[in-house]
Amino acid sequence: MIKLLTKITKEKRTRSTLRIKFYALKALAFASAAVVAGGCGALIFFIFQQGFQTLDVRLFFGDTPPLEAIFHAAPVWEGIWPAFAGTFCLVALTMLMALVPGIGCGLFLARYSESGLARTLSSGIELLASVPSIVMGLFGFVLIIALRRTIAPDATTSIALAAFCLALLVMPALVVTTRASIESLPPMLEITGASLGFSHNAIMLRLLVPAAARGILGGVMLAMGRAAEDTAVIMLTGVVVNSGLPAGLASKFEALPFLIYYTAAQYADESELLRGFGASLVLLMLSAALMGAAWLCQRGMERRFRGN
Amino acid sequence: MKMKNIVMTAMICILTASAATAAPLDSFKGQKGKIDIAGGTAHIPVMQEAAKRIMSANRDIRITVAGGGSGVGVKQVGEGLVEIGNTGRALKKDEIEKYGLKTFPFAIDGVAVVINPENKVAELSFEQLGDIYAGKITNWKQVGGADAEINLYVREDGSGTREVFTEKAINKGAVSAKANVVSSNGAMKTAVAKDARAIGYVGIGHIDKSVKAPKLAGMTATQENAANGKYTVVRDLYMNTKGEPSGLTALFIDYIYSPEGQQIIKESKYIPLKRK
Repeated sequence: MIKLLTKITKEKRTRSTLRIKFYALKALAFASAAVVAGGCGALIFFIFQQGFQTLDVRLFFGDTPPLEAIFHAAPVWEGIWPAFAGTFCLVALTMLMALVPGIGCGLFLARYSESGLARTLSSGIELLASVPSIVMGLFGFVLIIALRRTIAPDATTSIALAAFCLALLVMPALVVTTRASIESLPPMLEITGASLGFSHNAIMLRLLVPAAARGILGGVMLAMGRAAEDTAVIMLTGVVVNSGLPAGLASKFEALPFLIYYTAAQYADESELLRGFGASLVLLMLSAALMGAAWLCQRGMERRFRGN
Repeated sequence: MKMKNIVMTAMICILTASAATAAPLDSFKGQKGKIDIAGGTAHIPVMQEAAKRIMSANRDIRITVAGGGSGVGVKQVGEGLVEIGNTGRALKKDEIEKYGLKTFPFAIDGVAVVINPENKVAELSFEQLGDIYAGKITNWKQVGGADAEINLYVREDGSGTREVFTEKAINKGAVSAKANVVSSNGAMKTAVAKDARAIGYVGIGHIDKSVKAPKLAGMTATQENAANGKYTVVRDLYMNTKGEPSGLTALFIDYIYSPEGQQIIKESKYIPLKRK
C-alpha cells in the first residue's frame, strides 16, 4: 500500500516537473519569436517612417524627366536611379555566374557524397562560406592588379569583377541548400524511379530536382538577397559614388548599398540624409520584390511537378 | 617636311587661341572617352559637380567619381586603375618615386572649432583647446563659459578633417577617451547644434547659423583668412596623375583650374588655389 502511494506521488512529481519544463520551453519559444518579430518590425517601421516621405519620382530621377532617363539614358543627378539600375544589373550578373556552378556543385555533392573528393570539396565549400565579404573584396582587388601586370594590362575594377567576387561569395549558399534539399528527399522517390527503368540522369532531372525545387529556390533567394545587400565586396571592386548607368561589363557602376553607406558616412545636410533613408527603403522593397518573384517561380515549378 | 611643320605649328596656334577665348566647357566638344577618379572623400563634391557639368555638355564622356580615402587614391592612380587619384595631404616622397606621380594642389580646406550658439565662450587659445581635448579642462567655466560639463566631439579615424585638426589645432596631442565620434561634417553640425555643452570641429565651409565658431588664438575662421594665411588650421587638397596628364584627363584638370572650376570649388565650400 505504502509502496503504491510513493509510486503514485513520484509519478505525480515527475509529471509536474515535466509540465513545468514544457511550459518553460513554450514561454521561451514565444519570447524568442516575439524578440525576432519585434526587432524586424521595429527596423521596418523605422525605415518606413524615415524614408516614406522621400518616396517619389524626384528621389529616383532628381530633375531629369523619368522617361528620358529610362529610355534615352539621360544622365540623372541627385537621384538614386543609376544606383538602382546598377544594383539590378549587378545581381543579374552575379546570378548568371553563380547559378550553374553553385547548383551543379550541390547536385554533384548530393550524388557523390561518399567519395573522398566530394568530402574534400564540401569542406572547401564550408571554408568559402566562412570568408568575410571584405576579404572577398580584397581578393578581387589583388586579382585585378595581378591581371594588369600579366595578361590584361587594361583590366580595371568594374561591374564584371564585382559580380565575379559576389558570385564566389554567394555560391556556398547555393551549394549547401541544393545539396541539403536533394538529400532530404524520401529515398522511395529514387527507388521508384529506378524500378520504372529511369536512367540516373532522368531520375536526377525529372524527379529529384523538381521535387527539391522549393529548397533550391530558397537558396537562390538567399544568394540574391546577399548579392543585393553586400557593400564590402563592391567597395573594393568597382562601385563608385557617381558614374551614371552601367555602361558595359568593364565599366564602373553605382549601387544602392554603397549609396546608403556613403550617404550615412558623408551627408552634408538633412535632405541628403533623407535621400539615404529613401534609398534604404527602396533596397528593402527591391529585396521583397526579388523574394516575391522567386516565390512565383517556385509555385510555377511546383505546379509543373504535380502535373496540373 | 618643313611645310608639314609650319602647318602643324599654325594648327596648334589656332587651337590654343580658340581654346583661350572659348567657354571652359567647349574644350570637351567632340571628345570621347572616360575619366575614373578615386581617393579622398573631401574632394567628391567638387569632382561630382565638375563631372555633372562636363557630362551634361557632352554625353560621349563618362566620368566616374569614387571615394576610398587618400591612401586608396594614391594606390589606384599609381597602379593605373584610375586616371586621377585625390589626396587630402601632400604626397610622400616614396609615393612620388614609386609611381612617378604628378601632383596638382587645387583647393584649401580649413577646419574650424565649433560650439553651440548658446555658448557664450568667444575665444579659445591653442593651449586651452589642447587641454579641453585631452580631458584636462572638463568644465566650460574654466574657459569663461557657463558652469557646465564639456562634451567632446571628434571625427572618425581616417577622416582628413580629423587629421588637420589633430596636427594643426591640438599639436598631435592626446584626445580623451570620453570623446564622441561622429562620421561626417553634417553629423558633427547636427550633434553640436543639439548639444549646448558641445565642442567639435567642421570644415570652414560648413559653418552656418546652427553652430558658432569661437576665435582660435585670435584668429577668426573664415574662408578669406584661410586663403591669405591668417588662419592656420588648413590643408590643401590635391589631384594626382601618373606622369604628365594627357587627353581628357589634362582637359579635366584644366577645367578645375578654370574660372568655372574655381566657382565649383567655392560652391563646394573650399577655397580655390591658382595653378602652380
